[in-house]
Amino acid sequence: MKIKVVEPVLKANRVMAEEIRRYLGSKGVKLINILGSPGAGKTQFIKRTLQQLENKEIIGVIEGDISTTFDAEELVSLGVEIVQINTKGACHLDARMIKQALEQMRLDGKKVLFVENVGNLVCPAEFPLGEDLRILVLSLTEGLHKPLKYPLAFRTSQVLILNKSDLLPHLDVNPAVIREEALSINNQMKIFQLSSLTGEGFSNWMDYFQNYLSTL
Amino acid sequence: MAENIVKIALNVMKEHSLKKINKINIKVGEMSCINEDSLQFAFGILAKENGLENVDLHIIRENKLFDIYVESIEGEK
Repeated sequence: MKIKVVEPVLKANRVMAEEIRRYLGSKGVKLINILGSPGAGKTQFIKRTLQQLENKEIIGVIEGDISTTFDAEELVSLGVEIVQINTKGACHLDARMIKQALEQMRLDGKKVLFVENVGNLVCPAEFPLGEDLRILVLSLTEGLHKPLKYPLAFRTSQVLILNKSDLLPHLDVNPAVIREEALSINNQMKIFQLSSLTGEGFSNWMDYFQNYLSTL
Repeated sequence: MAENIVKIALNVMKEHSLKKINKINIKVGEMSCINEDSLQFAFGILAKENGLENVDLHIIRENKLFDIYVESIEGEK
């Protein structure tokens, strides 16, 4: 006999992600999930965003890594509250890990939680964490055609950061091609080309982020 | 992913009082970034560990679908 099922394989994660979104919503907090390949510059992007923000106390950071605490240590000096998750081998964060991390995070007075996902363009895209906004950090050194190779990550992110623009003179990469490919996958995507290292182009992103914060 | 497929199959087996599952049909979006070989490999191990011997995991690719879901299960009462 054949039994019709039609059940999403990752339903359990989605249900928990939705619970997290509702719980954070009741506390007036939004979660921002930051995805990208290893070395795309996710930590530097968070660091510069925090450095340019006057009211840092409204931000908390959840750092996801397979192992080590280097990224969390890099952000400690900025004076924001950080909770580290070590996935012990898993290549992505899931909603259950976020739920556990939230038990250690003070939410009073916070408006936004940045979650730095494990460096990977494949699996993290499949696992919503209860986010209000998903940001994909792609460095220009990663070359062309990433939107077509990893469509889910681009389809599910609302913001694309084209990072390391300071290296463009040394690269055989045309950012216009990446933009065009990204928009062909997701035509609603907001795209910011910048350098988290030198700060060039960062003001456009900060204007967008300040505007996002003002709506919360 | 494989773990969840096994969980869904075991639930269906219980709900419908099946003695045996022969085939699990899953639909996978062309854009879902699933690696079929890895999924088959992991499913093979987990299915065996959970008493689901000789189950055919049939993967149906569907264009424009981003999701992965268990479409149907074939078994015997």
